Amino acid sequence: MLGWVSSSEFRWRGSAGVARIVRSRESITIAVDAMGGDHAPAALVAAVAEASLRGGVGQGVNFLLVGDEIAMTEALFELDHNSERIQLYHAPTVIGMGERAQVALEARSDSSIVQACALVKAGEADALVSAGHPGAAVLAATRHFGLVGGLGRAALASVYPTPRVRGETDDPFSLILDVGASLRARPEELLGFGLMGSAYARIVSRNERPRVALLSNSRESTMGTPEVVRAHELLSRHDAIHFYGNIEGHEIPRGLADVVVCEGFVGDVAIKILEGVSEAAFDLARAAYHERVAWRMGLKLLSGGLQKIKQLTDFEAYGGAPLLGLEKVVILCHPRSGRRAVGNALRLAIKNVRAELPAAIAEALDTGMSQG
Amino acid sequence: MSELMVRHIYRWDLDKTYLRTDFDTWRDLIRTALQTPEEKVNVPGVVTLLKELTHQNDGSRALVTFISGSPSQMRPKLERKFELDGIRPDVFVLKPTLQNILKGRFRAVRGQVGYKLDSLLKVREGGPSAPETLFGDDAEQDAFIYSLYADLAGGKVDRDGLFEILDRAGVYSTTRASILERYARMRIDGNVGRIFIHLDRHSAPGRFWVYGPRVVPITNYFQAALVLYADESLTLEPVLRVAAGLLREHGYGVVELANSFQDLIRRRHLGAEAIERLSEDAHESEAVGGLPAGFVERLLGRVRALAPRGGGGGATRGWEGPPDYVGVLEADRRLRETIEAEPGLFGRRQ
Repeated sequence: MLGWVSSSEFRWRGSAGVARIVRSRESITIAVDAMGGDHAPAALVAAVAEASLRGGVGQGVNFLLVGDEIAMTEALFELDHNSERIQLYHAPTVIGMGERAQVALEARSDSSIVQACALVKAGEADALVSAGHPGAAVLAATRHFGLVGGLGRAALASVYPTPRVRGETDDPFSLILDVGASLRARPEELLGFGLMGSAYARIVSRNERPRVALLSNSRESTMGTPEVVRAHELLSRHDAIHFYGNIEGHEIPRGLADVVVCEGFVGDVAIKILEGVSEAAFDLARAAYHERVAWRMGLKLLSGGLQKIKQLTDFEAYGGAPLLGLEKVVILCHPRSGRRAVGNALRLAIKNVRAELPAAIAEALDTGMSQG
Repeated sequence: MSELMVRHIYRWDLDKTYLRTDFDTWRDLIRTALQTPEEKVNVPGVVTLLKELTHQNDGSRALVTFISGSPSQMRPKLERKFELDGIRPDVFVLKPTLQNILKGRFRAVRGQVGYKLDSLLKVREGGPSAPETLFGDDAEQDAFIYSLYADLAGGKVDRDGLFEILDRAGVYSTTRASILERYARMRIDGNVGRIFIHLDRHSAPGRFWVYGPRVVPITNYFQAALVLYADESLTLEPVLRVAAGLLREHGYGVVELANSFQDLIRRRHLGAEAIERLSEDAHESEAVGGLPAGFVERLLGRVRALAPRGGGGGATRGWEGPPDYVGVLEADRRLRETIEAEPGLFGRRQ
């Protein structure tokens, strides 16, 4: 029990003297697990403080910081912020990165991630943002929030920059799911991921007909694990999905597909390799810079382009990964996230709440699954 | 002036404290100068609070003084604005900007320390002795000036200390002499109490901790009303009327007001006992009728749920006054120099 009252608001509307009370959901609230991540609570509190300065009373977004009250208060005390838009909720413990998620969650119901989920479930917030223990965050979220559209699993969706742009927003990012919400997925669940990914691309990138591909070890439809072979059949037969076919790992950065579907274990490995390759490329460039004068000059000439690539591949630029398939908006940030990454994750959470993403995905799944 | 006993004196800044004024750019300045009284916008809740502070039928009266950095040429428009708001200041001081320009006192055009401190002391000289509450904002140096004024009135800063502060603040010698003269004649009564700083720029509250817990940074006037209620300077009804005004006229909801309440508790400007007292008083209050049904219960429910669990927090840090005013000025100077020394695009100073 939270000892809480509902936050559904009453605001006055109409001119003075002809006041009438209406129920309002104009403003939205984002719950933030303030204690999760390598730079907690400083980075999370700083991102919220900055975000609280955007928008005016009544049209803005409120934030619910969940964590150690004293630590959060100390951090806020030194930051420019709008106190009208920030609430604190005290959660005395935190689940550390080295802990086993299931054991830790059961042992500590007063942890910031569990309390943040409970507040979202109670309707006190519309979305959750966490940079904490990814396993614990996924488990806590899936335990608190129901799955939409009869789906068996939620999927963590990550984005990766590609040379191709897509949709009305000229989005350079491919969406990859699942990247680690769970390890395995049945063929029907991979189909569900395809439907969810399509819905997300339509809403967020305004890409009306996103191309969905299945990640495999070959382009051949008969190659891969039995689950992948069966998933290929399901995806290719489905009217609601614009299926591109199978793609191999090296084709992800080329941007052949707008949505890449895979099991969580494979996706997690793939996305980490992709992140590692871009980081390694810049490390190599840095080493080359000090190696020879000619290379240094070449890199100087290329510095503008390299900077642009660095910005594009910087995980902080896109903040967090949405956990799709749940009744609530959940954005998980990289545990290394700093203020900028969390700020971008907050933006993404707000965008997804305003787009009513869970309902849109539920609708896509209802329609898609009935066709499938 | 009325013969009624003066029970309290409220001293206000105008721009960004009473009026929503932009003067960060030349365009803002020009637009502000050209605004008609009808176009000028108040800070939400300020008029309600000011009327509640001055309206008490107990055979006494409260004095209201305004000391503003706006140029004296603005007087007719600003007086008309007060008239429209139904506010009648007892004293209204404006800055002689044109005179400063004509005399070549360009530092005084933007500088506030000399002008405001001299004005405060001058107004105090000619006025009655009563407890004082001050209202300013975070745009300039109100917290510094008001704290110094309070410490002068409390006998906590001596003449030599004052001289050094004014010297470091770059106050012109004539103004400095005037301030020192007034200080020599000043009543030392410790009458200056609360200093409210309206966070127009949403500055970090910690920025004002150097002045101690007497200075209360506020985001809105509901917060000021709550602190005054906790100080027993206001009863509950005025606090609820300020809340009702924010709800009715400025788009606030119970969440924003609860957050504001919680913020004060977090920063230890209010104790948990304020919630209980407010709850008890609300049962007997008629002003609750002017609010949405169940508003007070919902407000307090949220505040209780969010209330701090532990001790500590920013505002419980040890503080020993008086503030190191010279240190504050030095820190400001170093900060300015750092900003100015930052290399520009091509390594030159910007």
